[in-house]
Amino acid sequence: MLNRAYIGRRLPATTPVEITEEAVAAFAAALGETGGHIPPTFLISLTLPASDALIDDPDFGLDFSRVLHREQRFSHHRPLRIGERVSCTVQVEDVKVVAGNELLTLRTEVTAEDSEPVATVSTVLFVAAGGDDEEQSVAARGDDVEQSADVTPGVAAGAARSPEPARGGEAS
Amino acid sequence: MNSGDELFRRDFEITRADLVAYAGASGDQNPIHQDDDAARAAGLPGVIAHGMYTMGLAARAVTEWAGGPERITELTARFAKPVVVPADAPATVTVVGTVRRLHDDGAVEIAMTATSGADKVLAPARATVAAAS
Repeated sequence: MLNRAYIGRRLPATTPVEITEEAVAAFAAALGETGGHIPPTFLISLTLPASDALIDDPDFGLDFSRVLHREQRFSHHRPLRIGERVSCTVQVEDVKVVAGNELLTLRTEVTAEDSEPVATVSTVLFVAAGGDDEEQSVAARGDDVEQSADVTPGVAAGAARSPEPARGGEAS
Repeated sequence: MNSGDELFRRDFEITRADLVAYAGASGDQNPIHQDDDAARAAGLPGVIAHGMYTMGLAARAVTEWAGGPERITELTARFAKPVVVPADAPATVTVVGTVRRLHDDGAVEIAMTATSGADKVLAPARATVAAAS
């Protein structure tokens, strides 16, 4: 179970990161985007790493091996610009219980160096219940809920009981 | 433009090579998006696309329709089903955008469906495109 005391809590703002042409071009090329645009989903490559401190915090109780990416939202307050530097502030917005599983909503404010709001990025993670049925794979359990979810990072590691930490893929 | 009007319909192919490129670009190196054994160990039929890859394709369809990303103010998706990407052939995802609602300020709210075979993979997915200034 996630620690409910964290609801409303904010992580410190991340060190500003430059939006480089190279990073955007690689992201766009992977999606087959050839128009020279910044993909509207590009900020995911910044917002999910920004929540690392939360995932690493044992007191919060988030087991990434039981997590599926369920929902994603981007509110763009103004266009992102190449060459600007932005920072991310992650907040634990909500934890809901659905059929014994938990839905965690993380809300990340992306701001420019002059504090101008750039975007609000919300990520909903489905956290499968632990306990007696833990041997069942997360992917299978995800299908039991009305809306299943994309399988994120930890899932493979969790179901396979891999010794690898369930990291490296928070952006799923 | 009226509610229910179809705005765009796009077929996209996703290959294993695309997923490798996206893993590098996004930082999501989860092996279930690249390795069949890892995917099967997680209870999946095989390698699946990143949910954010499919959402990225939906975003691409909106971007191309709008002539750029600048007027896209809202973009949302729920990941309903995984897109399985075989090793030897691309998976196909079809994205269809229709007018959901016209806002008083001229913005268009678009409802999108993304399907792969018989599966709705994003359900629902939406975008709001501000009026051209």
